[in-house]
Amino acid sequence: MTTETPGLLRRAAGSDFLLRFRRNRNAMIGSVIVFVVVVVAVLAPVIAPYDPAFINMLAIWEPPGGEYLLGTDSLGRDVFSRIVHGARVSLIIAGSVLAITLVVGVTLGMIAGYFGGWAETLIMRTVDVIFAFPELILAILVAAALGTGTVTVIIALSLVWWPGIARLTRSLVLSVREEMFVDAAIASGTPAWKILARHLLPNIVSPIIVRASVGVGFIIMAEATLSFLGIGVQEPTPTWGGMIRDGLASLRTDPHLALYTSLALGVTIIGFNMLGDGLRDLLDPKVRDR
Amino acid sequence: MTAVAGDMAETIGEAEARPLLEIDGLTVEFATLRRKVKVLEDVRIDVGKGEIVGLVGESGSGKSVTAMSVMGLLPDTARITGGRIRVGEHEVSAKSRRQLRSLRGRDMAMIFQEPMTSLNPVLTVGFQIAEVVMEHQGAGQAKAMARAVELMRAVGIPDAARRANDYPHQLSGGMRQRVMIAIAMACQPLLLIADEPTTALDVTIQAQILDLMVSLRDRFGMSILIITHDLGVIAEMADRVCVMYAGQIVEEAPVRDIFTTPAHPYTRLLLRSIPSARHKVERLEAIEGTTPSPHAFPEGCRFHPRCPEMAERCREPQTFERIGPVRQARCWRAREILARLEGSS
Amino acid sequence: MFTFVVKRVLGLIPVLFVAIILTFLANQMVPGDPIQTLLSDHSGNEALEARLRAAYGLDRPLLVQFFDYIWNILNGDFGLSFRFAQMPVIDVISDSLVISPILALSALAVAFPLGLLLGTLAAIKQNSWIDTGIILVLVAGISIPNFALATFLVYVFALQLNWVPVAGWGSFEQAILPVTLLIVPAAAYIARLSRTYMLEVLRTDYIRTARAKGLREKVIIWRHALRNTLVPLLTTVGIILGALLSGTFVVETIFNIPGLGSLAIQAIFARDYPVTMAIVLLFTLFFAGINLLVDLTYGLIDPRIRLGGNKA
Repeated sequence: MTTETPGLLRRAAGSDFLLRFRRNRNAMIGSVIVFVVVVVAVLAPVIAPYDPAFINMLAIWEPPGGEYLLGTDSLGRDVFSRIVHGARVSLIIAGSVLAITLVVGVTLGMIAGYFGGWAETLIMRTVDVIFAFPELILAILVAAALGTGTVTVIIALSLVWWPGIARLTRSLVLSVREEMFVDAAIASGTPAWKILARHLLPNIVSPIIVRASVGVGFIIMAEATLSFLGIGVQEPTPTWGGMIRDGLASLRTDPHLALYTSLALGVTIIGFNMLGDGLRDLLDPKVRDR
Repeated sequence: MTAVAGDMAETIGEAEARPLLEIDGLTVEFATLRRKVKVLEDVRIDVGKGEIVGLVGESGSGKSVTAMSVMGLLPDTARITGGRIRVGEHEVSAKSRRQLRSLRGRDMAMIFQEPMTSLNPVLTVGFQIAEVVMEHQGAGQAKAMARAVELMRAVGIPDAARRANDYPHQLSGGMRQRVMIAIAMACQPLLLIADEPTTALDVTIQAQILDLMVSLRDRFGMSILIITHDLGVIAEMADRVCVMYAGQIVEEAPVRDIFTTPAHPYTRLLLRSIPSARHKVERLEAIEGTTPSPHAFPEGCRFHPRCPEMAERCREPQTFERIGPVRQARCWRAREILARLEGSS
Repeated sequence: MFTFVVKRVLGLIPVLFVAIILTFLANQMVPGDPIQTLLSDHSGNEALEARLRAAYGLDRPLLVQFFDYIWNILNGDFGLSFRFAQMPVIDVISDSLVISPILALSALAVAFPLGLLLGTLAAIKQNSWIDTGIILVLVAGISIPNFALATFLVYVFALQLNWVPVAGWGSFEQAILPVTLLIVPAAAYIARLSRTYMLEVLRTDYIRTARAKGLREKVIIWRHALRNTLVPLLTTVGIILGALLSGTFVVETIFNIPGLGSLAIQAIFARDYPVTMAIVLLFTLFFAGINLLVDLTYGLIDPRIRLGGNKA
């Protein structure tokens, strides 16, 4: 029948957070996967048995097993070591993009929402223009224009993602700005930056975290796609997207490169997305009261 | 009269005298994150044929849950763990969901508080009324739409034929509530449950809607259970009143008695805390404290922490005391209070 | 209604204008001189260089080039390709023109109803095993990149089982894998949204009224709930189509499909900027056009927008 809990049973969720986190399947499985991936990425030099860039023409296309856990690729490099280091590359890029987009997006969003006027118009028009393009195509265009490489990927992805954060931040600021405690702060002469930092920011953090956690998975996917298309991270740096491209050509005879890398990439993104979904279930006030 | 016919006459007579809606000892539990919570306990309400009974209480007292229990619309997290509900011939509490579905809209109907959101925005109002007829009486769409227009006229919507093709957002709040009433009346139900039907409406419209409901009762002889926190509405419409507090019924009496000689301390404070043209009060009194949450109902009488007449005995579980031919109260001091009131009048 | 349409169409113009500026700038920003690349072995030949520059119009001031470019586009002239020396861009892309939209649209045509059904099913059976199972599948669907999924699908179905050909374009069998790869993430995304919206709709007051009326569950879902779910869902069609178009870049590359996507990638690597710019412009136009269409349809379906006249 209906799934509404009557008003008299709703409670503040703060104290229950850990309890609900443990109950939430998405959050639990997701965080396990993410934890594993992060550990692998951090400990990559320790875990990887071989140097990922070490070319050994005597051992090309070795099948999995024996000396090489997951086999080797067309240049005799150990696939397992490359996958492990690839995790590090993916996370570093995703982390950088996330950091940049959050800083830029939140700042611009807050400025647009709080001060309004020409600043808001300028920022939001820019956001609208960027939104008019399909995300990936814009990223490809920017990457193409700036040349290939890791830095380009970071710049391209940040450019594509910050508008989403900015738009979200602005609408959050607009709604919180109406609250009374902001008027009180203004009335007592608090300088603008303090209002933004101390009063507004803490109140809008939650949905932004949700958006960010949901977005990480897609950032990793976008980077992998750019690398797959050849306009992302370049050799010899191991990147899962590039490795899959290399492996695809030899799929018939030596499938292990493409298949295991695809598995790693897929599971990683699934983990981040599940964690993001779980966090959204837990933090989003609309969903919470169910 | 033969003996058999006599028995039959007696049985029929009994059936006529039996209340249409009988809620007896109703207990409802909700499963929450940590444990099961009893939201309703031992609720007793009777509504006779053609009678209008008011269910009064603050928000959170469990009034809506009671209504939903009767209609079989409780959420999956809720369960009836005690008591029974009977509507006419049907033992509602014993029926499966599928069986209840055929009763809903046909023998018992419900209207809700928010006419703004209670109608589907993408369907015409005429169609939403016609649906009930199509579902329960098997009528075709054309016939059902014609009946819908009839019903819209009966509830006082002007220019009904044209407005039947309007969408809910094109109607005012009062009109929408009339549409809700038309939907409820479509199959001439035995019982109408109205959950805060006028709370969201303008004061001027409120009276019209209440009058409409009373006139429909007069025409069709249906019973009405009107749920509200507004004593003014009760005074306007009800024949009898049940007062609810913290998931229990605390007092039950004819409407006049409730207003002139309220016997339960909660009822008395309730009357004193609202402005009303009927009672001259010098000062509005707020009731101290707050309504307890179902997670932490007080021991014994649930009102005792806030009650001015509190004594040690109040900490023990309270039962209904009959304090008049048709009056009851869940308070061991009720008789004493009543005597005091009647003595002084 | 009419004013609404006109306003939206007019709103497209600045977007397209900006797109043109951006692609033009991207062209200019790229390091290296395309003429030198063209000349390669003949780089000492100044007469040839001058002729080539003139042919491509690169000997004129930047601003002139810019306005010239715009004027030409309005006349349907996208300039000359660098990669296929002096061939008009139009000719280069004309064969590929319809392929990518066909891929994207056919994927959408399957993904939309499929996703809607799956999402609705999951919502109806919320918290049951069916729901949990569907959710897991959907998360995988949106998480696994299309090229990663391609490795599995190609390996299993094309190489091992031999049910479908590995690559190429022209026959129906050859289209199965590529379109499937496009369908999976789109359907998963739509299903997740449908589930969320359906769950919200099922908790509304008007659904409560429908239940109170004693309507059958099937009727409630099909007549009352589904229509209200469609309304917000349609607004996302634009985004989904954008993602599908981006997806064609990858899918066409993998399966050697001669569509705009693979052509664009090749053009990027070959530094054939006129072609790249033309394709990006066309995609943007297509994308914006679909968004406009969606906005119009949205107005048709939701009577609140169509009729206005909100009486508070």
